[in-house]
Amino acid sequence: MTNTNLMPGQYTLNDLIGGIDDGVYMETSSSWSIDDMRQNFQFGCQFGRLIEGGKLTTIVKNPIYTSDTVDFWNSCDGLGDASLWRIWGTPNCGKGQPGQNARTGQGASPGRFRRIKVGR
Amino acid sequence: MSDVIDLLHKAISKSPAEQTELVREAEEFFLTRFAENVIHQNMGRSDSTIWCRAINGRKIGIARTNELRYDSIIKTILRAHEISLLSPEDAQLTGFRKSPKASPSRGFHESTALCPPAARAEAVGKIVGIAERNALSAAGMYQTSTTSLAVVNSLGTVQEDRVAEARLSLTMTGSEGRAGFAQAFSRDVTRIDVEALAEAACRKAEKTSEPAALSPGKYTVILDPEAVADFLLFLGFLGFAGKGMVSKRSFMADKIGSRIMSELVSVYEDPDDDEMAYMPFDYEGVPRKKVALVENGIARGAVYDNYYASVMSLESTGNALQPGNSFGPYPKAMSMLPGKFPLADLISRANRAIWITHFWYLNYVNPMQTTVTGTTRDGTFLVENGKVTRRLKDMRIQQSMLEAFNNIEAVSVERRVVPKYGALMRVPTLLIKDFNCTAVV
Repeated sequence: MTNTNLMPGQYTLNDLIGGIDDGVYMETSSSWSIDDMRQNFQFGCQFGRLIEGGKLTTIVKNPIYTSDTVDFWNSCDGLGDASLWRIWGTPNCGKGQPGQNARTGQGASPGRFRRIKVGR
Repeated sequence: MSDVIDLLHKAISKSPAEQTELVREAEEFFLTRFAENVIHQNMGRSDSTIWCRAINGRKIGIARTNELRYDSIIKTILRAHEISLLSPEDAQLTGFRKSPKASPSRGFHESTALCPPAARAEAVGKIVGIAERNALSAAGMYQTSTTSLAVVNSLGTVQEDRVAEARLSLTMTGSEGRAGFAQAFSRDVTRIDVEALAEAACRKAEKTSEPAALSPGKYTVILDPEAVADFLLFLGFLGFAGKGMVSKRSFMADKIGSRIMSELVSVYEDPDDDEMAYMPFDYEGVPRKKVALVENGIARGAVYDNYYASVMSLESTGNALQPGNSFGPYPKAMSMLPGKFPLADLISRANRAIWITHFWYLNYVNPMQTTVTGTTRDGTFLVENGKVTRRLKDMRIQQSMLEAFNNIEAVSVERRVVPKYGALMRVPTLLIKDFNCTAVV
């Protein structure tokens, strides 16, 4: 899937963050791993900020989150609006034996996901 | 002197740059892919690339072409020269070197270079026959290739040689998620025992009990060579590479001479190893050297190209990658020394352990702590009282590799060469305690 876009929602970033009592705002991507059935995954970030009482507070280094694909997407209860939507992507999506690279693009805005296991 | 060297010499003599280097790599690559017990792809690829690096003062320019005509090479030299003049100065650039002639390659076998498509198809036929007799489905790939490399620079370096290689990897799958993986590498295709490899994959995919799900936690594990090689490759990327030593982004920086792993671990960059027989010089024409990376658990060193060696006031170890890469030098032929336990003894020593035959999708979590995550795949088993008792559901792992290599309890006598990307690793099976399994997949 070289071009997979998630349609934007209706929330501002303040709306998304304001609806969280205890959470993490995950920013930047640094590590990714998913099983061969594309179910269990774990992603890491370089930089994140704690969300406490609906506000961004302390910086956290190298936060990670892990879940099951179906559980994860069922836990989504808010997506950022079109003004927050942009194309992301990677130049080295690798597949196959021997390995081959593909350029991929993924459009998305920030999302809010409930009850996700996080760590560092 | 070959026609290629003649051509490079003739072209380099026309360079207006103060120093010039030409590298020519040629590849003959053949591949058969199969899935669901059927060959679905046969392909061959023949390609050559010529890189030019031109140095003027402390400025360097790099250009490349895959047009091999003399006038195209001259254009590439002029482009590299022009790029160098437009580039910023690099105060650490010290220029090219004259390297001594490397020893002749021991990694070329005509049996591999001339292996016909019919031989690959016949091998896949044997694999499919074994799969069908075991009510399994085989998928994988069989590839043979020959790589020729020539390096000439205006300081007098002249190197030219070639290596061949054969790789076979296959997965047998059955109902209820049963799967078994096996792979082989050899410079000499006739040394790959296709039937034995297919039978080994079948045994891992045998129908036994329903797979059990273990709770997340710390377990003793047995890592097959394929799993050990995954860890070693990441350690190579993260720690044994000269660029990381210079920037201090390597876990080895400031640790040379210190104990970082179990004393059971010794790892060398050993390009002249009998089984790996790597190309005897690198992309700068520097002969590859044997380098102690870890000896008896003590950090000893890393691998370098001319640039990063110069910054560290060291000599190149002959580990330059292709010109223009952003990675810096990497180890390419790592050898982990064997232990004293036959494989069967190593399994019988385990009271309760997870036997991991293969990792999937490893990625780093914290490079300086050497923490990686990934899952097991294609054969995960429970060992109880020294015997393999049942299949397990795959598990996600999150583990510091240094911590794991510090927790080694036994190392096997037997070793295998495992190819991964452009690197080879000759590694044993390991018994490791307190290995962190974080979730059932």
